[in-house]
Amino acid sequence: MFFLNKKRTDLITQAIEDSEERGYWSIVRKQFYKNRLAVWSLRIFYVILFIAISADFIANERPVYCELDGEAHFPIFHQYLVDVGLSTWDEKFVSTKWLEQEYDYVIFPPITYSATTRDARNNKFKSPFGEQDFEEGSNRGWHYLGTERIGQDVAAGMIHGTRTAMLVGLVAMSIATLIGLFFGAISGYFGDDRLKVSRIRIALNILAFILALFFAFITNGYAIGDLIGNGKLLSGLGLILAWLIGLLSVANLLSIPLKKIPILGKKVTVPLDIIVMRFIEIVNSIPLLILILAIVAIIEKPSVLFVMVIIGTVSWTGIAKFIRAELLRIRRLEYIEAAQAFGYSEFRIIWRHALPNALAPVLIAIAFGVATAILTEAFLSFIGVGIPDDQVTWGSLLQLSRDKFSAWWLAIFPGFAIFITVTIFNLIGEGLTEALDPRLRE
Amino acid sequence: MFQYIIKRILIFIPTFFAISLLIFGLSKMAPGDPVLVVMGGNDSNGVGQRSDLVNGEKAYAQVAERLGLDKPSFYFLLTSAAYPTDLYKISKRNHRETISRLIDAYGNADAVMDYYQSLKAIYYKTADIENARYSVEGTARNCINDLFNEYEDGVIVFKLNLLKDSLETPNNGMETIQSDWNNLIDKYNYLKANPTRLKLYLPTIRWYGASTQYHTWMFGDYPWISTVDSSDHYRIENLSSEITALVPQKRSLNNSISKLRGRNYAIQEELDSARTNASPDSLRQVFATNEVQIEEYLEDQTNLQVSIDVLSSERDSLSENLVRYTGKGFLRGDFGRSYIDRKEVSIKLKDALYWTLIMNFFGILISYLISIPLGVKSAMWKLKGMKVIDNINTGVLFILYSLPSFWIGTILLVFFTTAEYSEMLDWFPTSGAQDLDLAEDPDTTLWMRFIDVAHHLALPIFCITYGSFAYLSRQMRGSMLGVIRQDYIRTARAKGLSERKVIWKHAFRNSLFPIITLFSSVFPRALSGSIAIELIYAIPGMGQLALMSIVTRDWPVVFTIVMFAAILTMIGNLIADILYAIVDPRVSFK
Repeated sequence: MFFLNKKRTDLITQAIEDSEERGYWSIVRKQFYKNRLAVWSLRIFYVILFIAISADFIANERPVYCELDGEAHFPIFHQYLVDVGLSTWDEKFVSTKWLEQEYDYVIFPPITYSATTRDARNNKFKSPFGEQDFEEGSNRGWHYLGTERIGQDVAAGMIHGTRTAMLVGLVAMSIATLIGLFFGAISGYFGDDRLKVSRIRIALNILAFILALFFAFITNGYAIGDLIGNGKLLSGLGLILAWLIGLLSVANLLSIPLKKIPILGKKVTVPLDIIVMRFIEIVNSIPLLILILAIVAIIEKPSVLFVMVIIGTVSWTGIAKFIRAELLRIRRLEYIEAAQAFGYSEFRIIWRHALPNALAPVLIAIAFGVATAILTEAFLSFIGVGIPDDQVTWGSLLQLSRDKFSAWWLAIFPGFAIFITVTIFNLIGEGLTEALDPRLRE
Repeated sequence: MFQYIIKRILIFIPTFFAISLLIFGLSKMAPGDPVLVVMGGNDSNGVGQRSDLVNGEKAYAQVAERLGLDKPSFYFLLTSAAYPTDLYKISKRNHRETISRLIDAYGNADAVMDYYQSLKAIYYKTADIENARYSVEGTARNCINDLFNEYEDGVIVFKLNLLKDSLETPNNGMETIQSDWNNLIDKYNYLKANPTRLKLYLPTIRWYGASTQYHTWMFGDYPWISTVDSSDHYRIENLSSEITALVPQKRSLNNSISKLRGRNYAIQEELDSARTNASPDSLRQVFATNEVQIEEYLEDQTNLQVSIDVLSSERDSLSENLVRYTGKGFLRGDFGRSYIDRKEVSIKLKDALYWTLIMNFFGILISYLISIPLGVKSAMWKLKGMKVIDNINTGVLFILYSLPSFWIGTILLVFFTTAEYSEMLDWFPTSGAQDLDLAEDPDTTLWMRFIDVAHHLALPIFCITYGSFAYLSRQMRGSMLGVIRQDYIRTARAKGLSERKVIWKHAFRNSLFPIITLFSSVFPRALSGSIAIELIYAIPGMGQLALMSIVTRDWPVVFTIVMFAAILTMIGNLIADILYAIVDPRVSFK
């Protein structure tokens, strides 16, 4: 633009800014911010997210900073190093509990307990407003929300439970979104008529799929099963995916030369939409909770990670349906035809041109889905299925109140946390629904 | 329309089978051995004589057969060429697991089977050995039992050498198995030296025909057309009861005989010693009559023994040829028996369904009865600009909708069912669906029972109701607002119809759509939605049964519950579609 004078460039930048202001997302944002409740929910969500991320610095039995024997330590930071295996603890920290040490100078987090720290002097359900028993000059702080049977601090449990809840919402919904996007996109974009594939390619793909299942689940079944059983879920799933992707790409590469043979190369229409919708119908025919329970039951070593993955892998159907409906509309639009006329690959059209315009309604499904995922995890830990016994979550704290009716703080606080989190995600979902609905737009 | 329904029902069939396969697959992947669960967890593991071991194994095999678990899992099996075809014939699940782990590690099935068979032979042989040194015998038992479960090379080598060393100690009394043991070690080393791992990468498909676990589960192995001649079963039962009736007779005869013999022995002694007050003649007379009596008894006893022998030989010959059936299969209404308490699944379901149906019937009824008028009313409030009451209404409904029912259930349980906080708050019973004393008391009237059940179920019904009530009201309000903006409503108003008629005749009917779609999810939600509430209030309903059977891996019950939930969902969807067409004449299924 070097040949334009200053006035013209200013005009152009102004025009660009204007058009950005009138862009789809900025309108949506404006609409969303008109909804006071939704905005407040978003702010509360930021607070909860902050608590979840900094849980270690809010409730921890380790000090943030301490001076001991003339040395300065940052135990909470140090713990991270130890966790990744870069460092180890000094003997003096292992032999004496953090709260029993005699420090020269110390800064503790606001709540001086981790989720699983036991306070033997205050066990058996101490009320937050009742008497609590502390040694003279002890490092232990007040139990702001009381304790439960074995003396674990409820406030610390709630803080660390926030992290679990947020993680469940995040991981489960990421998985659900990925699966839902994939199935929704292919069924919506291709429909029943658009995917024309040569015979040989279909045959080879089916063969490769079966072979990949064979190599992953039969030949290496025990190896992968042991990996997953030992908590290395990601590497196990990665191996399975590696087999699948590897063999499928071999099949597709092979089909390129073979396609040239006339009989093998004849094109067949694949009714992708029907196949995907049938699949969704099957998943939807089983009550979600019972399906999750049945899958959780076959796991020998319970872990929150499994619960997240399972919730994610069964709750993608809503997102898939949303995306499918959007893409069925979008694929008839002219700009998609234009892209096809340019000869872009189908993958590129879906990924770069169709999907970005279909994402808006998915946000709604994700917001409500996070609420459901958090609720499901809380429910599972409430009934004591799928979560390890020593893991403290909101649901497991709430469940403790059934042992002791007089411990009202166990009935009130964890349940309230679940309620607030579920509510704000529902409100955000409502706000998004309104902001994205053209009919409701003023 | 009719065609559409038929088409939908035809589509149900593959969906139904896909779900059954899913659940069946889950049950096969689940850890734990159902046979051991049925046997009460008792596995006579290496204790006792050879006959005990054989009997224990026989009992295991019998239970496995009765459950239909002695068959291959599925019609066909995609597996690697390394695995033998008849692996399923090894009845014990842990043995099967160890063998297939070993094959997975080395790929040489023949060598693995050879190793396993000789381990088993040693297992029996050890049971026969008597008077062995205690410590060596203990080591042998432990090593052999552990080896049945071990597949890691290091552990196996350790165990093999452990027993080898202790067998080499002098005078241990177990020298007979020493050569066998060394043989076993050779076999294991051979297995390690000759792996054929490439075979594992060779896929094969094995066909097993119709006699499989899945087939038995779904279709049953009982004949479809001809009824099975059950006379043999009855005959065997009769024979058994006759035999059991005869055995005590024989025993009492035996007792009488030995008593008489004892008496005669005493008489003989008295006579021999000749130091008696009674006359020898009368004694001799008693002695003689006793002898005659004994003779008679002996004869009776022989007769009895003969008849018992005849009966039992008939029983044995009959039961040898008898075909036992696992069941009629799911599709013919035979859901099998629970692994845990051997009760019929259908009976368990019926008992549980009773309470869930009562709770959900009232719950759904109440929520629909309140929410539909409330939804319409609140839409009116919004339209008429009554902002305050509309805001309060939507706010309360939203909060109710977001409140987790298991939290509210817990809170109500904690505060209103005991006098923990105040005597004034002990309003409801803590747990259960009815007062058991009252239920068993014959004097109670129906009314008293109703009051009792209502008292018990008030809180649970409230907990399962408020959420769906809030949801339905919000939906009803939303769709009413959507409909009221339509042109035809304006037309109706312009025609001069009364507001009442416009709302209830023109708008209401069209705003029912979302309510109808929700109707399809009512059944499955009723089945699973009350899990937490039934758990909290200890109501023996469907939700609790589902949870308990899943946790205890009671697969026949889980399978049935999930299949019914799926069927109900599909029927619900169909009903919703049909209702759509009835409510909205624009909908057609061409």
